[in-house]
This record gives sequence, structure tokens and C-alpha cells, in this order.
Amino acid sequence: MLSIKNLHANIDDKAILKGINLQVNPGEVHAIMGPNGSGKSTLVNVLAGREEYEVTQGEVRFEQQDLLELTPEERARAGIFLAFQYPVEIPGVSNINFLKAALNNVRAARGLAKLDAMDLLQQVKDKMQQVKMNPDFLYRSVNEGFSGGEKKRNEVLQMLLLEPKLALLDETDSGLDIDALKIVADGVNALRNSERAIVLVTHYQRLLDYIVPDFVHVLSGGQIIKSGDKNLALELEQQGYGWLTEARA
Amino acid sequence: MMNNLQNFQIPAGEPLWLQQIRQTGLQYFQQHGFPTTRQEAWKYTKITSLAEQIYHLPTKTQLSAQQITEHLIPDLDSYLLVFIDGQYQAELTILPANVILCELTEALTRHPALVQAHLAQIAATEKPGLNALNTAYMQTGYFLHVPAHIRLTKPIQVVFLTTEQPQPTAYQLRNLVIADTHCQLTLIENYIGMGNSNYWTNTLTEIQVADYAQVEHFKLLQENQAAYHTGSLNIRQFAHSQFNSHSFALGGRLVRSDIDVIQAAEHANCELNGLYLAKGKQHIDHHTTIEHAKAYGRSRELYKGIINEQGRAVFNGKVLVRQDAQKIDAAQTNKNLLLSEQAEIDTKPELEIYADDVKCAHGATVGQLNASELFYLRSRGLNEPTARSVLTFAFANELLEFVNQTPLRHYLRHCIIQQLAQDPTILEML
Repeated sequence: MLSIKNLHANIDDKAILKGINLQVNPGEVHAIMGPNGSGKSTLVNVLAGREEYEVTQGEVRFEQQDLLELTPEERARAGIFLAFQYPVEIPGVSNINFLKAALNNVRAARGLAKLDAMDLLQQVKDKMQQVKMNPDFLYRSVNEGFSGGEKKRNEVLQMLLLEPKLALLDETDSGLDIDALKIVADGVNALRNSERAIVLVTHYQRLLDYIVPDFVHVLSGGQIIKSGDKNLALELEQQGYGWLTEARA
Repeated sequence: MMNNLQNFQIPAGEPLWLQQIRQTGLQYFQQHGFPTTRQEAWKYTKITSLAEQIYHLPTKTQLSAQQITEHLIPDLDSYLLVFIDGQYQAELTILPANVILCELTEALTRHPALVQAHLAQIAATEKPGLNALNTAYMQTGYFLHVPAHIRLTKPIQVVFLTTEQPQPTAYQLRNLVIADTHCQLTLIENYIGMGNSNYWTNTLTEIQVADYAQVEHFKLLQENQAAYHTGSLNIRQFAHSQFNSHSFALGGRLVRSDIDVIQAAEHANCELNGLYLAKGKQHIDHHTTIEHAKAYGRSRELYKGIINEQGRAVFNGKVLVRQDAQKIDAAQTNKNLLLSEQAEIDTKPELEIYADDVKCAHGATVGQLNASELFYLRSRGLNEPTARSVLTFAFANELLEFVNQTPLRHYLRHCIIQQLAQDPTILEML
């Protein structure tokens, strides 16, 4: 589904990704871990099409398409979703209208008709229940005045509605208490099936107690320096990254 | 200095006091003429093309009831006064009870003492700008007197419609509001240009806000793309009064809009909010002055500008604190969004403080759309023009949050989106 070959990317002429290779198949969950500044967020942002990053080398294919040629909106319509580390506040745009616009754009790209207002509302309310969000949030401006946890749940809500083929989660667990973490994890697990893939960036092993990954990768200095199964995350939890980065150096 | 108003007559047979007022204006204008960029207050706004244009009196245009209704604020339950090409439309008027609301010349006949006591008392006739010319040639406008303790629950909507005219036309409008103690009112001035012809609206409004009175004033500028608008809003506030101004400058080829507030007694409070949208070759200039003349006054000011294409905007906000005005709390903010390489803003806050125990803050920002916010919307499938429009609207939205009347807020929102949107489907989303 997603094939990354020798991906290099810069921001402000500073090299962040220095040759990433990664293959993600339908049904798989990949966790990307690694020390601060290793390029984890950069990787998922590059995949979603953030324009501040300049790809200098390499290739990314998503379902037979050259992903790097697509605009962010084309990627979204193709089925890629990024749950943001810092979701953006948009005053003056209600959450429900934002969800409607996003959903109808993505549906149109899949050849589906626009949802009528009642169907849409029902769908949104069902999913809100799933992430334990109060329906009042529908009529508030997007993320405006939301707590950190509410913003993250709003990201998961969008993800559940848009039903992406490939979900990228950028530290969706950071700043969450254990209850919120469970809600977010339940949302992600609800999306899991044999046709979807999930790539999640996290600092902490604890998220992986709830979302059990098929693969764990350690990113350091802009490269994947170790890959393994879920047990790698447990090892990292106990021993930190030192033994890996030192071994390399 | 000759003026450029062809066939404009000062009406004969007016009372002596009014003749004298007009004479003062005429003399000042004859001496000083049109303002020029050599004057500090007009440094960035060149009106040579206005000064060199000959303006005529309009020919009479008949509008159907439907054409007029289209320009009223939908679903707004309001009192109403309509002017078409500077002609008062008596048959459309909806009047409140217990209040005097009428056309200015009618007020001169029926309430001469009230008018005489206040006309040209709040606005300075002799100052750089176009007050003097307005005072000399004022033709029509509205007069409002709200007696003490009267609280108008419905807003008053005053519409100045300008139709397509065969020749350039000019309108010298003059409005006077007397808000007595403890009264409450909301006033909406809506300036709308219907056609594409070149005209000039020069309007001056004076408002006296007595002790404990509360006045909410809206100025909606929707002149057409060939029009010049010079406007002056002059407020005198007394003790414990509240004055709120909301200015929405959405149209016009060249706009100069001044607000001068004097807090002439203690514990006065004012808020000035404004939004200006300049695109194409529009030039929009706001100059505001808040004079705290007495103690315990408070003022808040928030002006936001969105400038696109080759649009140009000017904001000058002055806060003047007199020596007697201790314990003043004043804050002013001007934020600008530049959407193109050629867009330009000149912003200047001015603080002039002669008292020592005051709190005054000001800040100005100039920026562009936030890349992270744009990416957020696009990553949800919205195309780039839509995402830009949504964020631009979000920047403007803060000014709508001060608007309490829902139909008015909806109307303004619609007008703003029409002006901003690169992608008309954005309306569905907002």
C-alpha cells in the first residue's frame, strides 16, 4: 500500500530525513518511535504533504501513485489522513460544517454522493459517542478553546468519519491522561481492518499497550535504525534508545 | 479654493444660526481646500482625483419596492429610514414611538431648538479634511432624538442607496443623534452603491451620548467599486455612558473614515471595532481618535484589515489622555492580513498622554495566512482556494462576535464572505 524508498527531506535547508525505507501493507499497524528530533513527525508530515518540507531524494508510492506528486488535498482524497500533533484552531467555522466539508470532499473523490444533512448529523453523532465527545462540540468553532485532550479526540473523530486507507497519527497520545488515551486507542482500534493501515508516531510505549502494533521502528538521525515487533517497544521502554544509537555510532 | 460641486446650492431662507454655521464651513474650505498628502493626517491618502472631478446633482431614479427591499437587512426587525441618491423616502419610514426620528431638514422646521443646540457642536468644522465642506453644503441626513430613559429594543436602520447615474454625483450627508440620559439605542448606517458609476459620498454624523446612555453604532460601507467615500463620525460622551462603534468597510474605490470620540465626563466607556477589506485597487483609510478628557474613562479598540491584490489600507489610531484624565484604561489593537505581494498597509498607533496614572496599551501586527492552518484544512480534503477563504474569514470573524443581533450578524457574515471568497462554495461551509 505504502512504499517508501530512500526518502530524504529538508526543512530550511537542514536535512531531517536521511534515507527512510519502509513498506506498509494493508492491515498492518506500524509504530514509529525514537528520540526527540529524530524525524518522526517530519516523516508523517511529509507523507501528508506538508509544503515546508522539501523532499530532496527518494520515492514514495501509495497504491500505484507517486505520492510526492500529489497536493495535500489530493492525498486526503486518496485516503491518507494525518492526525495532528497540534490540531489547529479555526474560529468562525463550526465543527459540524468543517466535518461536512471534509467528508463531502473525500466522498466526492470516492465517487460517493453528498450526505444529506440528517444522515450526516446522525453519522457524526454516532462517532462522537464513540470518542465520548459532547454533541455541543459540533456547534463550536473547530478546536477553539478545546483542551488538549478534546483536540485529540476531535482528530480521532475526523479520522473515524473520513475512514482513511492509511491513517498517520502524530503523537496523538501526548498530553493525554489514561482515560483519554483509552478513548483514542479504542477509536483507532475500531478503524483497524484488513484493508487499512496505520502508522503511529509515539514517544511512549504505553499507547502500544492499547494499540498493539505489528511492527515497531526506531527512527534516529533521520533513518530507521532498528525494526522489530511489539517486543522492541518494551525493550525501548526498559533500556531507552542509548543502546541503539551508541551501537550505531 | 473653489469646490467641485456643480450646481450645489446652499438653501435660501434658513435661520441665521444655520447660515452662520454654513458660512464657517465655506470660509474654512475656501481657505484650505481639499486635504493633501502634505498634511500628516492625509499623508497616505491622496484625493486629487476626487478634488479634480466635477460632481453633479443626481437625476431622479425610481426604484421598485423590491429593488429597495433587496438592500435591507433580511429578517431584521428594525425601524427604518431610506435615502435614495440623497433623497429621503418618506413612504418607507418605520418610526419608533416616543422618539423623534426624521429627515434633517424636517427636523430643522419641526424641532429647530434641538437641532440648533447640537448641530456642528460635536464635530469640528474647522479642521483638515472634509468636515468644512460638509457643513457648508449639507443637504440631508437623519435626525434622531431619544429622550431620557427610553430604551429602543429594535435597531434603527438607515440606508443610503446610490443608484447608477449618467454623470458623477456627490452627496453631502449630515446626521445628528441626541441620546439623552439613561436611554439605549442601536443605529445602523448602511451605505450601498448599486451601480458602477462614479460618485462621492461625504457624510458626517454627530452623536451626543448623555449620562448613563448606551449607544451602539454600526457603519456598513458597501459603496460601489468606482465610488469615493469620506466619512466622519463624531461622538461626545458624558458620565457613565457607553458608546460602541462597529465599522465594516467592505466597498468603495477610495474610503476615508474618521471617528473622533471625546469622553467629556468621568466614567465613560467606549469600544471601537472595525473590519476593512481592501482588494483590487481599493484604498481604505481609517483614522480614529479617542480623547480621554476626564478621569476613570475606559476605551477599547480593535481594528482588523484584510488586504489583497493591489489593495491598500491605512490605519491610524490615536489615544489622547488629557491632564485631568487620571485612572484611564485604554487598549488598542490593529491586526492586518496581507494576502498578496502588492498589498500594502500603513498602520500607526499614536499615544499622547498628559496624565500620570493611566493604563494605555497598543499593538499592531501585519502578517500572512498561517501555513500550518492552511495545511490542516487541506489535509482534510479542502482545496487550497477554499482553505484560504476559510482562514481569511476566520480572521475576520472576531469582529462578528461583537454583533449581538443575529439577523445583522448573518447579513454581515454574508457580505464579508461575498467580498472575500475566492471559492463561492465556501458559503455552504461557514
